[in-house]
Amino acid sequence: MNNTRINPFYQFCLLFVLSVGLMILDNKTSLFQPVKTIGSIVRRPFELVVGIQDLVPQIAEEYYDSSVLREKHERLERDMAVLRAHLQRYDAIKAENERLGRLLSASVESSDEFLLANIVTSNIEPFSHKIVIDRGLESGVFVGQPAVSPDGVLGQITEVGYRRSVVMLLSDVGHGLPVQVLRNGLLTIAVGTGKPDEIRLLYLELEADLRMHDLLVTSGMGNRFPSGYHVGTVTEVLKDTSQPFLNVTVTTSTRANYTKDVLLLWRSAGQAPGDGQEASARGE
Amino acid sequence: MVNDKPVAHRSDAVIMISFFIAIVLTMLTYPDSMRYMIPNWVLLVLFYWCLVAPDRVGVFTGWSVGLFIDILNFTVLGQHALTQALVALIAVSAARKILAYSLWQQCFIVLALSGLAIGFQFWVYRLAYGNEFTLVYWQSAVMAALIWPLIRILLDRIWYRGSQRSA
Repeated sequence: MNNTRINPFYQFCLLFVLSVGLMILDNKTSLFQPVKTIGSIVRRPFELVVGIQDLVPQIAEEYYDSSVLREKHERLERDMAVLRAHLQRYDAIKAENERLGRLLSASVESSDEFLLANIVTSNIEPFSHKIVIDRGLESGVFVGQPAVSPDGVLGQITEVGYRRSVVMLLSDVGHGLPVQVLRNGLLTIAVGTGKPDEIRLLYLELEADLRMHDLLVTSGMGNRFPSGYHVGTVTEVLKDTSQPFLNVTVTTSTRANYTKDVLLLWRSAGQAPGDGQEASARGE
Repeated sequence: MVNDKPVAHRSDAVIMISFFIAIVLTMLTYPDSMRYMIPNWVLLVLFYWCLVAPDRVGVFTGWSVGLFIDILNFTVLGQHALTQALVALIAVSAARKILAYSLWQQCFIVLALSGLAIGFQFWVYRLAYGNEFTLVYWQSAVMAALIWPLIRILLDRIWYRGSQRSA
């Protein structure tokens, strides 16, 4: 930390050139992937300290009062009973859908290989809506992989480290997603607005059939996200006749600050989750 | 802060711990409503050390800490590094003048520096994604300016504790 020898200004000029070079190289090439991989390891000590924040309410709520715990347990059992009842129909519908798909000789999605991950850091920069999760290269995570939560789509992977990766949320301005209105099958694209849990729809004509509280699901176009996952509900439809398109605001189904669990999806058997391999490797 | 002798024995550990805590504060989960209000903790701490210990913390330290944050956060390498280096350059070059100002005048310098940092980081981000700039992003700079006296007093206590005792 000795800076006295060189004039700070010249020091800065040197570092300026170096930084700009780094930024360009990092943006255009994957030269620094090893550095990003290390990043997930360097994070460890910081995450340990930050983790205390999550621990405090947990201890207060759950371990202190057993009635709270019991209540939570009951609620979970109730939820599970309901979900299992619904699932019975899901299997039948899925089978029927596949049969129909074969009849139409359409490609049937055999997706739904998944891996559970936890959110480690819920925001890394004020401008970007990105979170860090605790899975990375080690588990076979790849860039562009869809991430969903129990409530709906969360976003997709943009950076992969060894044991950490970054998910860009739907609300990030850099995020776009092909969606479909569940009620009438209307196809459109949802892009982030930069506001928390808010997205907007692109290129919808003024006459488009869209109402408040319409549910949007992924359309499966673009071959990145499997179809049918919840995206959000329409909360505002502005019809300005001087504009060529409708101004539609959508609130995402997943409220990024309130979710803990993330599911990473693999689409086909070809890209099986690394978790299985990992488990077998450990077994040997 | 007039001469460095009383504090010369102070190890760099204090400085490193303060940066560690600043980074931890950045990584905490804040409620949505406070999203844009979180000051740039690392910038505040860096600014402080550049003023009181320019012989130890300077442009290169700022750059290194920034690069470290880039690696931690998976952001574009060099983005935070360049921002922090710029902040350090301004602070180090004008350290004597800034120290002569009152705490309240310093707040305005922090406001300007935070604003500069936000503007610059936003510009880098815009190059990649094409954001629209809104005024909410300045909230963080205002918060930084409001919190500066606290940081200044707290770190002064830690840094000059030994020297006061020996004096």
